[in-house]
Amino acid sequence: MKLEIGNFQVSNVVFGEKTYFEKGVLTINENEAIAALNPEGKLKNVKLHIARPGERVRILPIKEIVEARVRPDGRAVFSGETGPTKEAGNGVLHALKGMSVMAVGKYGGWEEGILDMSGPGEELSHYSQLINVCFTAEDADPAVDQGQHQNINFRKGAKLLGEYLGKTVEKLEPAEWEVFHIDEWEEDKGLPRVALVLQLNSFYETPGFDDTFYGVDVMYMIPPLVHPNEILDGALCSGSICISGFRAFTYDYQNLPLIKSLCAEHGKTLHFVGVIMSMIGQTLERKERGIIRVAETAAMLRCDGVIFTEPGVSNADIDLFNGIIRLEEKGIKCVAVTDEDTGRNGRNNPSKVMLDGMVDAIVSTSNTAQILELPAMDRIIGDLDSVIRDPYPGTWSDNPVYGPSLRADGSIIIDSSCYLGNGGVTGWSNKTCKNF
Amino acid sequence: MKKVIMYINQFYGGIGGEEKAGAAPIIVEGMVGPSVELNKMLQNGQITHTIICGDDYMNEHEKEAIEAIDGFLENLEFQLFVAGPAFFAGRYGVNCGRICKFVQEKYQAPTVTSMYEEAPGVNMYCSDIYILRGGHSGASMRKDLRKLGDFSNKLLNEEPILWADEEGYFPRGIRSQVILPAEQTADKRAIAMLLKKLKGESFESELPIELLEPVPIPLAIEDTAKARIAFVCTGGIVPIGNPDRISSAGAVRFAAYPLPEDELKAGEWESIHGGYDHKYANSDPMVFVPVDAMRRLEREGEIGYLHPQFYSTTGNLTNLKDARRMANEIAELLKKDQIQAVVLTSA
Repeated sequence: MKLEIGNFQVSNVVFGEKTYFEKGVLTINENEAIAALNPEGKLKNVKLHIARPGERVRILPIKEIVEARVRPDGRAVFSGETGPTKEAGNGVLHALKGMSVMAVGKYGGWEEGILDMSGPGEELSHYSQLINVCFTAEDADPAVDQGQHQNINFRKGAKLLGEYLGKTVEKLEPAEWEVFHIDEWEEDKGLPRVALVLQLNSFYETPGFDDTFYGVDVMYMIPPLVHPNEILDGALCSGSICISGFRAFTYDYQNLPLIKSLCAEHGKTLHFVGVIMSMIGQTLERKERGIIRVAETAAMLRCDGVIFTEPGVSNADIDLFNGIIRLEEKGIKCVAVTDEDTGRNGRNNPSKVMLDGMVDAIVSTSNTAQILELPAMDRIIGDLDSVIRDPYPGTWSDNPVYGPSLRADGSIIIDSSCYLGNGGVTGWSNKTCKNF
Repeated sequence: MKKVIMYINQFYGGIGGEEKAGAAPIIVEGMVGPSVELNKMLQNGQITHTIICGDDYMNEHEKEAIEAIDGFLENLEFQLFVAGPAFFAGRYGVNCGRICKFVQEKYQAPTVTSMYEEAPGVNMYCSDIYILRGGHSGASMRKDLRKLGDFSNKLLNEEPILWADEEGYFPRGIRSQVILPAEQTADKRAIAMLLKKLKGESFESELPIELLEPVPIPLAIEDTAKARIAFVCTGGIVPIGNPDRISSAGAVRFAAYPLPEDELKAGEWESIHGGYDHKYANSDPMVFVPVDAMRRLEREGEIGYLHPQFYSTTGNLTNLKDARRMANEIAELLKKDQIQAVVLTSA
């Protein structure tokens, strides 16, 4: 497969009379954009906002994030989601770089994140480095807006707004190209054969919460082998579960750093054979089935090595550790990339629910419960009251040590489980955990 | 200029050697022994007082010693408390840890000490206080004082204290997130680690997995009527007065005592284990060494032979390294008497 992504670097985003891209500036007609993201009127009170790096802005609760893109050949950017199911991973894409499209609601839940564009939170998230074009809205039907919900209309809205903004560069000539070309029949030239095992946000049996692949819920999928380009090209989309501090959003799949870096090393230091997607089994039997399929797929690919990601803790630790043990038993050398739950006081030891001597190579991307004290911001995109009112994982109404998460002056004290992008398990994170 | 108080033992305080180990604490204005050297290294601090205490006094009269020191400190102003360095010394290291912990908790002032990695005080106090990695003996005094000085300056200047390996202290059982340089992203770290692992080169896991060796369950003894059996106890049962000075915690040695013909009598034996209420063990030491029951089995022909002595130590806060070493030493002694099975009682 050969995927060519033509990149347009965005230096600023502003509102204006019409929607167009010129000299690095994206101008948006707000009404037209709102109509594009909410074609069926399932959302109400829709507004657009722009958050730029370094601004004193707090965004919450963030429900979905995508990169704005267009396919000049007319195929949908999200195959099976925003248009008919067509092959993803081949052909030409145009992308607006340095910015994201964020869906922001009024009500928070487990899966929804908080982000600051400046202050001490800035260096914890790759999203603080982007210009974030946000829409805020509420579901027109209040029954699907509060608590643990699929956020269907927000997720769809983000994708549609991403496609609408992407159209501004449909007919323009990109300034630079990124090319991802891995031929399925290519010889390995004696280089070590390496697969990426990518654990997805997938543990909700009720339909509509888990990640989707070509528009289909991945929950009961048997771990499939996929071409890395399919993921970079929007075939894999984020669902509405997994705690926001470490879950992968659609933007993360479209730009997955581990895939990009493995592609860059392909043919030089290693031979990248593909991505095996791994689901989090909700029964022991389903965990075992997943592990059998991951290990056997890697063996049939004659893998020498595997990088296995786990964006999560506890339940998902079992799939990671047992998966790696099975791979190592087959002689395949593994590196795990995952976060740790060291606890708010750092004394939660061990920081994974399972440890094993065969899992001897771990890249630790973050602590899921790091205490963060974040000052008040000048502007809120979304609803600050969601911090105490709603069931975010890393906030509390009161605490004997830390007091309430939301203070009268607008400052917050939370733990990193709800801080967007802190986990960075797909490869973004320049954080680790150390013994103190 | 910030004020610093230092704690040292009777030896480094110039009072005397082992014969003066029973000396009660005193406080002197200014500097004595190692505090003279440490003071030269402080950039923004001055050692105003030195507390000197006998190793045995603190060990045997902990409450009185701490009360006396508390009395010295009550009316003094200080921003840092430094103890040691204690090297591989057993009592001195434990005392440094004990007093630092007390001062830190009561006066909310930062504290620091220094010990050799196998000193029992390390395991007992490293989760409470900063203990710097020190040398084995007084020969490393200069080096250890230099480290104490550098670390003291950081504490006095309220600079951030980085992780344990970077600063040279024993991990306090706390794991926390740190931010690395921007280019060291997890994708690049993972690929580099995998390539090293594939080439068979050494690599360092960012989450080290420290595993306990599984202890295999031994095979059952086929004919117990001929079995040769011994007692080993980690509950701290010793003759009254603890003649072998086994520590109540973090033991580094064990002792062998003759096994009485009939029973271990109350009043002749006591528990010195620092981790449980001694009421039951002192009133009936045979809760740990049930020699009466085993002698009966011996008479009835249920077992073949009882080893003539029992081995005793304390298991609480004993580090794994010392526990393994002591177990190996005991096992060698038992093998000489062809012992096949051990009744191992713990607290």
